[in-house]
Amino acid sequence: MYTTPAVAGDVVYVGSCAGTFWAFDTQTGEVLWTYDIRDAWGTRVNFHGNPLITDSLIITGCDGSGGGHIFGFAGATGDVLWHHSDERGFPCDLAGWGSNVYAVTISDVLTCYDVNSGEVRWTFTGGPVRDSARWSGSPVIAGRRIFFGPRDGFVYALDVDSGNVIWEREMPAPVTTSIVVDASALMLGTKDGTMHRLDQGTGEILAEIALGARPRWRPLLVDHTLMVLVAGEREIVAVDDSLSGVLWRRQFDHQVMSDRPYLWEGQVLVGDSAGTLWSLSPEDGSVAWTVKLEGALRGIGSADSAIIVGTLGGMVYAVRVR
Amino acid sequence: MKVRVVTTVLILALGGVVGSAAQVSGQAAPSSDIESQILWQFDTGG
Repeated sequence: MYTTPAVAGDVVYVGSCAGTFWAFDTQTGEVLWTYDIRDAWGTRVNFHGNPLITDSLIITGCDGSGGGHIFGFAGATGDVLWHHSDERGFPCDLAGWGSNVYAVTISDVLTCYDVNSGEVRWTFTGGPVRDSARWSGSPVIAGRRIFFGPRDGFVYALDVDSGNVIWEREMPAPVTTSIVVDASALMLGTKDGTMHRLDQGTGEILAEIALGARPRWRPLLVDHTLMVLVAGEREIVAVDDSLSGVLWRRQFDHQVMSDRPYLWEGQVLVGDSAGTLWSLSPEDGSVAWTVKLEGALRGIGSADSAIIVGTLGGMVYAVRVR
Repeated sequence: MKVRVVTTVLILALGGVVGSAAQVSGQAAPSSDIESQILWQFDTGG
């Protein structure tokens, strides 16, 4: 389980690294429906990207060496309402805007689909890949623009409806994180160990800060604190959102396996390879509490008062802390 | 609470609602420095 468990009402959705997509009752763990990619398509896939939930659908992508897919499932039944295949698949988190859903392939092609029909509205392909990362960071939407940092070393701002490029900015090194936005800027990390703050309107680089290690995965912005995992996944670095200085660093004895630090009740949750679920203060990185589970903890989400945790081995836990 | 939840999951697994890859293991007791409780757990098999 790599993705963040996605919750809609009383249902939590998780895609497994064994290639099955699951819908559970959040209260009881009852299995409501499943969709097994191997049964349907004969190939093994992984679910690496977070899905997108609408009123009636759940859209999710998967990837694998034998091909990947994006599905529009009926949220209540798991019926496949629409589907597309790709040579390698869709490993990134999906993004949504109105009736559009946006997905990125392993080849860094950004595609906009009609969320209800799956019709392709537009596609965008950046330049040649310049980085060895397995896939790019996930795009994000703000102000009718979708911001995309593929592995070609550029950041792009595209119009959400047309896909037209509004601006592009070549970065000093390939982008190595997903993009995070606030009211006026976007923040991202690059392979040279730097976090950048860019103007949403122009792409101008407003500020930079060197972390001393390569930022990776999906940073988390809480109030004015930006937290990001760095390469090796044994440290989280927190900087202020103007990138004027490092606020704190938190080291871990074991590898942090949850690549998306998760905000829950004002605390930042991460899970490590030894099965420890950590709750950290975003203010100073201090440990509020820990819970020990079995397995390497990867996907972290929540439903009501319960924390939902998926492990590398495929276990799903619903845990209550108080 | 633990017994009720585990029973629910076991019934579902034995009833064939889930695929053969799904497995249910025993309830693991979490250790923590706060009060915590596993409400339910489920092994998807990978």
